[in-house]
Amino acid sequence: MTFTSPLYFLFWPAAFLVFYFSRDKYRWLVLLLASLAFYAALKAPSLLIALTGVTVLTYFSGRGVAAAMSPGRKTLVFWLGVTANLAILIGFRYFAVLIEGLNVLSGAIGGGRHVFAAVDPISIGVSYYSFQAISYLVDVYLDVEKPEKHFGYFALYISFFPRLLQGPIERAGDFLPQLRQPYVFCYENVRSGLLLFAWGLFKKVVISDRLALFVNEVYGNVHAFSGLPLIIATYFYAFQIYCDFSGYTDMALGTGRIFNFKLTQNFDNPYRATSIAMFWRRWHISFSRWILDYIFKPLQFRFRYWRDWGTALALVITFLACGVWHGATAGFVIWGLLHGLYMSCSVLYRGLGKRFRRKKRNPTALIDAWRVIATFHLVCLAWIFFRARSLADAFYVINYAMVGLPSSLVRLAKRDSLVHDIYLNQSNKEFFLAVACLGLLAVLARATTAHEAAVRAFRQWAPVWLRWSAYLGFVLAVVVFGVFYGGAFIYFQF
Amino acid sequence: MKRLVVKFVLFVTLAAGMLLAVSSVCGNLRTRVLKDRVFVFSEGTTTLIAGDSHPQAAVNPALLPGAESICEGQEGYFFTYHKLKYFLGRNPQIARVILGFSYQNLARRYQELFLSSEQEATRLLESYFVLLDDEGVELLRDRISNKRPYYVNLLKFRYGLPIQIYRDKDLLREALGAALRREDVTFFGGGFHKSEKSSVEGKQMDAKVRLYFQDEKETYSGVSTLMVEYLKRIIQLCEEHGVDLTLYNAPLHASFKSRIPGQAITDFAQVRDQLLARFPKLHYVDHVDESLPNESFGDGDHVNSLGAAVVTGRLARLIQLSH
Repeated sequence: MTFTSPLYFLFWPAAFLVFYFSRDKYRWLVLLLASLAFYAALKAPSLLIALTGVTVLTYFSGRGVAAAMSPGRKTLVFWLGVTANLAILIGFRYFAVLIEGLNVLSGAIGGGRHVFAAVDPISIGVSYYSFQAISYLVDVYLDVEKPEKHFGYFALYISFFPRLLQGPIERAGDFLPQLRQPYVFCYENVRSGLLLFAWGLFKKVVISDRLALFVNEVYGNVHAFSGLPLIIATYFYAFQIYCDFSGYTDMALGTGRIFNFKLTQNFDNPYRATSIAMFWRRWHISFSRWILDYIFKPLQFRFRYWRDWGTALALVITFLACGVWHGATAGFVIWGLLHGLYMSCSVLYRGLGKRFRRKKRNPTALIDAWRVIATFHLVCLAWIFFRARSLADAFYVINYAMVGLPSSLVRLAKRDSLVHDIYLNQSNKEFFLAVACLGLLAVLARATTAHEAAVRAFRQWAPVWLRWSAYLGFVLAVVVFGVFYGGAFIYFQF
Repeated sequence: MKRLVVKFVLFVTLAAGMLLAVSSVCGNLRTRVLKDRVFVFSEGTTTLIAGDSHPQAAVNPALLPGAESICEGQEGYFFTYHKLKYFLGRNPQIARVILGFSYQNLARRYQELFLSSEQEATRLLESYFVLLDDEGVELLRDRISNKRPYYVNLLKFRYGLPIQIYRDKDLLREALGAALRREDVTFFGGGFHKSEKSSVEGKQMDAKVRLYFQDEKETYSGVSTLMVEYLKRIIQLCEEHGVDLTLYNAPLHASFKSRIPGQAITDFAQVRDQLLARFPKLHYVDHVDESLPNESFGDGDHVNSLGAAVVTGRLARLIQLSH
């Protein structure tokens, strides 16, 4: 079950009604059972085993860390817990890749005979709750948090269904106290949660899946295109992945809010960032914070004597790890490496930037706009490696986007290849709808908070009949303009 | 909570009511489209050319008296059956159907791709779902591996939901009161494929043979029982309408034919012989080995307009002789 499957629209109201009519002391149980049912609906028993394994191991490791009598024992238990979580994560994320590699090797040696049976590489959600479990253990180890004694609360912290499949990665200190608060029904929370969910659904079904039509056409066979279509498809992909992931997050936050839970916001208008560092403060925020706290900071501390070069090295290693987390392919590794290099450059040339800013105390809007454009294009360049089917395809896109540009512009001037070069072999209606959707996104989605502020203002200003007409129009727009084929969430694979 | 429940129920009721009203209008428009005169051919049209891109490229209706082509690329017999059922129902003057019958028409992997590939299912169901009878819909429900395209099209074409209605040119023209054109209707088919291009390349032929006949393990995928079943239904349908049916095996470049797995040719011959034995009124015209120069081929498995002119002439003479 995912947020866009019809079953979910029966699931959450049913879960909410049972939750509402339950006593406070059993509400955690209702949510835990709902979360397990939600995960079980993926029909992959191994995932439930992984979830149970992470929950039990982390719970007892946390208790063990807190109860340890000596620092050595505390460290030992802590590392055992972290290693166990990493083993589960690596097992699920990379076991299939390992088996495939061994089969290729055995095939080469043994004349095409595969030694191991192929493994279904399903690992939806595993990395998110494993990371959350590791962050809990670190917080307990560093005495930032006390270990949770209530196993049910802890299990719910790991498996709460709105953020089980794709995050956000919650800190124990943010989530667990909310479980202890008695539930008070809040109409405003349910209403705004539903609106947020609807906005996320629109971003996914109408915008992201529509852009996917164009992106898949080009990136499915890059060699059939050169110049402008490669550039358009790359721009579209940048917004496809944003709407896909932030749409999911909005739906997760909206569902959480219906149950009176405040989850961490994962996106804050990332394509308006004026630097790569700012981009990472606005993109997949919960994950960025996680890698900053648990990978970058320890590395930076270790390399502290190398000053800026140490920081740069720590950044490269951190983002390399981030790339590998996305998948054991060259494309993801280069994507991570590129972001690491961008960040490192910004550290090494920090002095230059400071001097520039000193001279120009009040940077003009033009300079800011230039920085936004430059940052966006650097991000897009990295997205090419993230999206392309192979490294060869990625280099083809980069090469032919530039080399083929003049000839595609000439073709366009002659109006020879509008369908191929601009509409990317889709209908002109789909293309203009996609562009209109991006325009709407720019107007409405400065950030979820801005979107909510706009909704609040609309609510105060508009009479009931107008509001309800707008909401009904929104439902009709999703039905008419939604792309309901395919379209699994991109980040499920991670 | 009471306020929420009341508002929620009210909103859901209003939304459902609105969708029902819109669906009813769309369903009505779709019914009107199917009754349009664009699907009725002139009295003089007595021959229909049906099938996939092979007869579409090889048989030029302009050179065959009283003929009209409703062929469409990659159209399998499952879809052709429903299309013919509809067109024969609307055109009682049709006396003859020339149906493409080539090796790839029976190849399991290629013809049943729409049951396993979501992309193919999406493309084909969107074009043909409106024509499917109950049995066809049930077959899809049971056999299609990705149910999403099935349910989306079911909601759209059976229950009238306005899903991506802006793409349905036929419906929009009907709503605006504009006359329907052939190109507005997705299932109608592109008619004769006119092309002077000629490019017979080995690499391209290898890729096509792989696409038509080989499965993921690059072995011959066998005969599609579904396509054979629907071919039989087409023959029975023509018999019921008193229509003369000719199975037509269009020309292939010798180099292309040599690449086809031998088992596929044997299987094809076996099915053909069984059908000819079972249905004595059935005709079969074999132009597959017709001697044509390279310039008459658009690619390895399609003739171009030059080749079509030659083979349509020969086909016309054969039909005249048979009567």
